[in-house]
Amino acid sequence: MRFTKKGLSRRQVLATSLTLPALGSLPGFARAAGLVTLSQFHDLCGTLTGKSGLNLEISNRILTALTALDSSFPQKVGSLISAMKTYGLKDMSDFKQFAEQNANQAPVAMSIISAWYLGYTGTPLMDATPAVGHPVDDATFVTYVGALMYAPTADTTVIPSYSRGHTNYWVNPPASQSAG
Amino acid sequence: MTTQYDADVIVVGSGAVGSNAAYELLKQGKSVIVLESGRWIPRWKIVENFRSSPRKGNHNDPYPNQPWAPTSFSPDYIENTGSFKFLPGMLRLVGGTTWHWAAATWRFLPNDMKLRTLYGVGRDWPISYDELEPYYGRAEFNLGVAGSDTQDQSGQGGAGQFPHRSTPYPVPPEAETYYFQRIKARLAPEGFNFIHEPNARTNQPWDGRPGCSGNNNCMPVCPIGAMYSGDVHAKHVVKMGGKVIEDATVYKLEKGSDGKIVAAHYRTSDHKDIRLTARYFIIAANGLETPKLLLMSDVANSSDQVGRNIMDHTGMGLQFLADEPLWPGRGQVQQGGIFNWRDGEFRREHSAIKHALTNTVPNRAITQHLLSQGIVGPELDEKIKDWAARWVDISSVFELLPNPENRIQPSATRKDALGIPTMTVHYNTDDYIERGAVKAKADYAKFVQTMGGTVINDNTGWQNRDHIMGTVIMGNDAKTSVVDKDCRAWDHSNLFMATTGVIPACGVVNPTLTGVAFAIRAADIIAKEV
Repeated sequence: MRFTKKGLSRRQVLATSLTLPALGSLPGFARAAGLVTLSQFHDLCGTLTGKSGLNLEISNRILTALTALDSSFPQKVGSLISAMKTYGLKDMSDFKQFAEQNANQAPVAMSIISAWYLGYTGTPLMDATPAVGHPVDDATFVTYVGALMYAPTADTTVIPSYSRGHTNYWVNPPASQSAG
Repeated sequence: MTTQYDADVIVVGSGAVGSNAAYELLKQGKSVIVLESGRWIPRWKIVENFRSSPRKGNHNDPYPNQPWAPTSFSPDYIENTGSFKFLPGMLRLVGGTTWHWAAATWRFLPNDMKLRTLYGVGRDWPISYDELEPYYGRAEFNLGVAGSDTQDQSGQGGAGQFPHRSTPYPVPPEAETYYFQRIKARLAPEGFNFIHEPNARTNQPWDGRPGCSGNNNCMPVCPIGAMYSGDVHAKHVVKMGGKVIEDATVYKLEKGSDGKIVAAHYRTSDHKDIRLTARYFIIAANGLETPKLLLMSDVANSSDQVGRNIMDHTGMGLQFLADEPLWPGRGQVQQGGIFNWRDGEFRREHSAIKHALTNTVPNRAITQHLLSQGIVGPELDEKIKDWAARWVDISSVFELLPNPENRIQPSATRKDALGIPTMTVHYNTDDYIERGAVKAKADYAKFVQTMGGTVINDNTGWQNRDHIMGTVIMGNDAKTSVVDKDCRAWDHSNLFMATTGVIPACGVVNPTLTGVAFAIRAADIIAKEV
């Protein structure tokens, strides 16, 4: 799927009842879990990250990238959604227990959470030599400023390469913290 | 009949060292051609490449990596045969690898240059600090170095400026980060001597560059150009009438009948071979490509020392959580550190050591760690915020001794897309730094204890530091060294090396400033002779 400059709106998604591109070729999955729309995947992302108002374009990128890594990913998403429904997982504070009872589904959830927090899928190599046990660099960019790992420190540090300060601002602790 | 040349001087390599040599020659009215294997790339493209990369910890990733100009991280470019995986992050583009460095611009100490005489290990430099001192000053001016004129940089706790300077730093030091202030306040009373790191990251307008505004991205690319990179002087070279030829990989230096070098042969990405002549040649193709070119050309190697004696500041690291918020990640990525082990009688027994405080925004490292432990949901956000405030990252380097067995050679079996050999490196660490590591780990324990810390990782193993020295080693004797104290090849009177590869004893400080100082000195000598 390609985005226009304006990207996908939730309305467009709902209006076209978009289905996963890879899903159409997976009749077995369609029978097992029904059609999973981008909208449903987006909702799943909201539950797994505990965030509302996530960017739909990023959900779509994650879905596309993780499906490229593993063509059965949409099926696994369907199974995860079913398992979460069966368990009644609505609050991620319960995730540890859910993961213990759903060993097959937990890694799928972690791959989605990881993509949202780190801003990429797969395993990046830091140099020319393959990592032990992971011979291929299969990393795909998802987002930079949208990576959720930066939100908790938004009031204290920059997202690297951006600046909100001026020369020598760093002499002081963050303004939001210094009063305490 | 008068011989016609393409230029007075050909410089191979457009990095910080080569571009400064070319600039100084142009200032003295000489004609110069700089040959660069990579291309000009505008800064904004590199910044965009970085922002859209999934491998932000790989400092080579935002840079071009072409089959005809591969970076050191190109698969199989460097084949290792030793016990240590030697893999520095070297680039191929106009401006060279100073596109991603942290711009540490130290002077070596007078004692670093007399290692053999004073401590009975390694080699002496064939030049004294006093002889090099004026050129350090000129190099600092060219790079716009910010530094303290009042500190004892030997780390021995002296009261005033050391080593001595004939000129002040061109830019005053930037303010200390809160992170640096707090760690210093707690560790200094335990006897650890903190020194500000002189750096080519200007904090006020300098030579067309803006002051640093704390983008915290010195590696892999400063988005605003406050941090010096070699393209600054490559641009000056062009403005002054010099020529920078990109896509020009030099693969052969041609010897004349009189022992001089008469031509450089380069190949373009579309496999055109071109021969250029000059009166003098400066090879400034970094500490690995320079010896490779010499060996491929069978020049300058009567000593059999070309490519040998590789010294990196092979290092290790420590990450821990302090018991108070320190807010790392505000300002530049590093600012100095602890230098007690920079010099002393102990160097008879074990390596010198530098402990640098790393000040990068730690969110990615922290989040990867927490996710690997299965931490999610509100706890993940809380822990990222808490750990990011208390994260301490120490990066240590060690002084390796020159060992002829540690060497770089052109590959006998592999070639790049131009048909030019890639490289083979053999590199082992030694007992000298292993004994230093014992001392460093004792320091680590003390840091953690004093800061009320919780260790995340205090056993990283040996790591690359990308400070390549020794490979075209400088000395007093043509039988045991490649160049003399002027950086002139013993074997060819019109061939000079401008690279950190000339440095014969590596101390613990980042070598680029010294490479530039030597290059300026060599340019002065060449200008008198051409």
